[in-house]
Amino acid sequence: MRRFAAEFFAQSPVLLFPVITLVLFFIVFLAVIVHVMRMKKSEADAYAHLPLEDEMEVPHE
Amino acid sequence: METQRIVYNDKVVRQFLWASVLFGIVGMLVGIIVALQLAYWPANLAPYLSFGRLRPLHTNALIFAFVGNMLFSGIYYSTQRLVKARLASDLLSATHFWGWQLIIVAAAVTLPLGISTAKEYAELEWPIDIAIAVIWVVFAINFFWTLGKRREKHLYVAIWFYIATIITIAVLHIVNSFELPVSAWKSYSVFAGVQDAMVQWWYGHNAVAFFLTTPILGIMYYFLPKAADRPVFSYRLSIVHFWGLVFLYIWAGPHHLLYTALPDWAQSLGMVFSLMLWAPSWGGMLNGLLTLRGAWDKLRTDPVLKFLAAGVTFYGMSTFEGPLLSIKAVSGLAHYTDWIIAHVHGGTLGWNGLMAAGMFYWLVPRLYGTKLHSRGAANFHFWIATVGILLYVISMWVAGITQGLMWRAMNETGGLLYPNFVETLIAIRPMYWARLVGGSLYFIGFIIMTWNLIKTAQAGSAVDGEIEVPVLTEPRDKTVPWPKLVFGQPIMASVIVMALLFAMVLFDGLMSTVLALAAVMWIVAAIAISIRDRNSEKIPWHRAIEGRAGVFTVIVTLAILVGGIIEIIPLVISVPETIRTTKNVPYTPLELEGRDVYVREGCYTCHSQMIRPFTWETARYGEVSTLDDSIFDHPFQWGSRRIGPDLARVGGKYADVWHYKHMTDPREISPGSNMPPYDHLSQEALDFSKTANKLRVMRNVGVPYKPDQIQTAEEVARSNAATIAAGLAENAGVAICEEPSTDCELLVNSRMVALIAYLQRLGRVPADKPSAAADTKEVAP
Repeated sequence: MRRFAAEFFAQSPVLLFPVITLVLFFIVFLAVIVHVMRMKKSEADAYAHLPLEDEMEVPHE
Repeated sequence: METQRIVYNDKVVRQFLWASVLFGIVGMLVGIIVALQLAYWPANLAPYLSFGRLRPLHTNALIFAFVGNMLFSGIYYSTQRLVKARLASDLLSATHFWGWQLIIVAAAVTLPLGISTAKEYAELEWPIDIAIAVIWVVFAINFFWTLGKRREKHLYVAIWFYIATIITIAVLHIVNSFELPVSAWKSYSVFAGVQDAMVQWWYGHNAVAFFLTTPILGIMYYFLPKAADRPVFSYRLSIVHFWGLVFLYIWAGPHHLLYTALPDWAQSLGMVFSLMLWAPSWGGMLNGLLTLRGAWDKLRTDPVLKFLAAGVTFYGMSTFEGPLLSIKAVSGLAHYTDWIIAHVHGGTLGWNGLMAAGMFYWLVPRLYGTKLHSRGAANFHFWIATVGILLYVISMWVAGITQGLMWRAMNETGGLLYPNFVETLIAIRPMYWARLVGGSLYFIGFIIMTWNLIKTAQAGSAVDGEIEVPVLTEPRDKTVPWPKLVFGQPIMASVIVMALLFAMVLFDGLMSTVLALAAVMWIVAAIAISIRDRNSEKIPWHRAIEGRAGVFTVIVTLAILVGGIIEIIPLVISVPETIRTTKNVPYTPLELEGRDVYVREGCYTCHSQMIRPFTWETARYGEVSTLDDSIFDHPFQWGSRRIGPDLARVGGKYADVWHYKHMTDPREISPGSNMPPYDHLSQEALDFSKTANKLRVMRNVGVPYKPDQIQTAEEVARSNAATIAAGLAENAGVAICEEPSTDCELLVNSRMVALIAYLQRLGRVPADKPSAAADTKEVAP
């Protein structure tokens, strides 16, 4: 891997940036997917109803 | 339980709403004028109403005045209801409203006067830039303070989109506005050439992302469920949509600079991230449309749902087209053509405009306690707007692809099939008329909407929403301390995975395989642990941050900063090195003055200065543009659209007389051209006593002018101007003069002469002068 990496980064050291980017994005994406997969249905439903909750609202006079 | 009554601040919602309607009319009217100017040049009635000055007014008015006011209206209405609290401060709300309108008025006055930084969608000069930053902070304080007073612990997904908007726009605006003032209404960008291009399009693209998209998505996630009377299709999908957009969008800026002198790695990064954007964008679009499940029948009767559903559909179309255009091969054809104009108008007219109309039709009856005046008129508005958009977009697709293909067409002998640029413009002129009709239809619909909304408001009277809520007796509990969130399980797990992956780079053979395996096992273990804890009492990390506005905001900020930093910092490091080794030399004082005229007249709205590495481009315009060519350009002038030819290497291509005659009467030299005449520049005198100061500011932003160059700036500018004017008098019999008089055709110290000097310099490094590189060491700080 070191040989491969040395060859790759020999083209330009700034190639490190896209690599960091890819890894970072991949991890964040994975984390978000895991988060939503384990979210309880009841919980998601409760949040989704938030915009519909203000029926109590009454017009002024 | 003891309850209390909260009255929402709906006054500011109404104010922003009407301001949006008003500036929508103004901005679209200017749009119709500029569309007419492209089809029919005599519509350039006066210097301050020429295309180059009105086009920035059109874009700024519709982005910041129309959509800006609309999104403030929607954000303030929905946030108060989602967090069950009145806006924190009436004073801040009023300051926000009036401050923003003042900025709009300042823009409407300064842009036609030619006061412009020439950075697209950020043309406003430094005093207005400061005002924007101040008012944006007022908005942010008002918003976050309201969140702080909230009675609903969980922050609904719409609020996340608003948070991302506030943070990102602040960062983008401040960084892109780094400029040094020359005078009260003139400044130079601190970024040079390629740096400036990268910063500008990082800004430009994300202005689209975080001003025209994320806040409207928040509005979609609130108003679409309200109008359909059912919750969003999938709340989980909305979470993926949010983090997907926030993480990906910020990287996509370089897709505006494909095949330019921007380093390759940044171009590829921009393209790949743009392609990845397909997924979350379409996830969000489908999430919006599927919210209508079981309510599709309402589309037939409810104009609000018609507009919202069509708006979301256009969001899907624009976000399909955007990644497509970001593929390098497609960009090669589409860039600089009207295809891009079609793309942005699909987004603004379709997504922003229809979402705005849907929101207005829903809000106004509720804000005035009455019913919509005319459903029939709203339905008519819907159809005329849709037909208008289609006519607009299709005509611009045809124009863009036609012109793109004509530019690259080769004859049997390998030469250009259409060597004269004007031919490619004349070919698409019928499409310019079709676009004008499409835009006008859309505008008529908007006027009908305005009438309908005013009638509705007149039938009722202003009412502010109210709600009964339990009185808060205890302060909100903060069960999870912030360090636990910042160093929470998911973040630490991610850091370890990254560390393992990067450690692989240091080893060969077995050890790197072991590290790879460890990373994979760690990921699997982290997922397994999180699933095991699913039913435990512990509050999951993401749910905890969803309830903590402060920590959530910090994490969003980090997410958007990392993209900008990685793309911009390498250029900040590399450009000073390029300046040390460049063969280029800074502009002469007269050329610099001419460049300011170029910026002032908005020449960049029609002319690019960036020759891409294609045979048909080099055959038409000359050698491929390099980083060196624009290394002293503050701001860069690469442009984004070619309504006229590229000017990167126009220097020396024609005689001074050609330029003089061409700018005085473009059609005398180039029959069929739609360029506005610039004969007035011959009579506008420049004050060369201020030129030295311009050079001084340029030196402060890194251009290696020598002290004696600055001292002699006025003298040199005068003598160079005299030489050019004398040449024009001798070769073409132009009547020149030092002071304005009746029979004078050209003032010696005029903007015209300076502009000719600048144009003749483009793409040429004076051979008799030593390169800047040799002198850098002598430059005093």
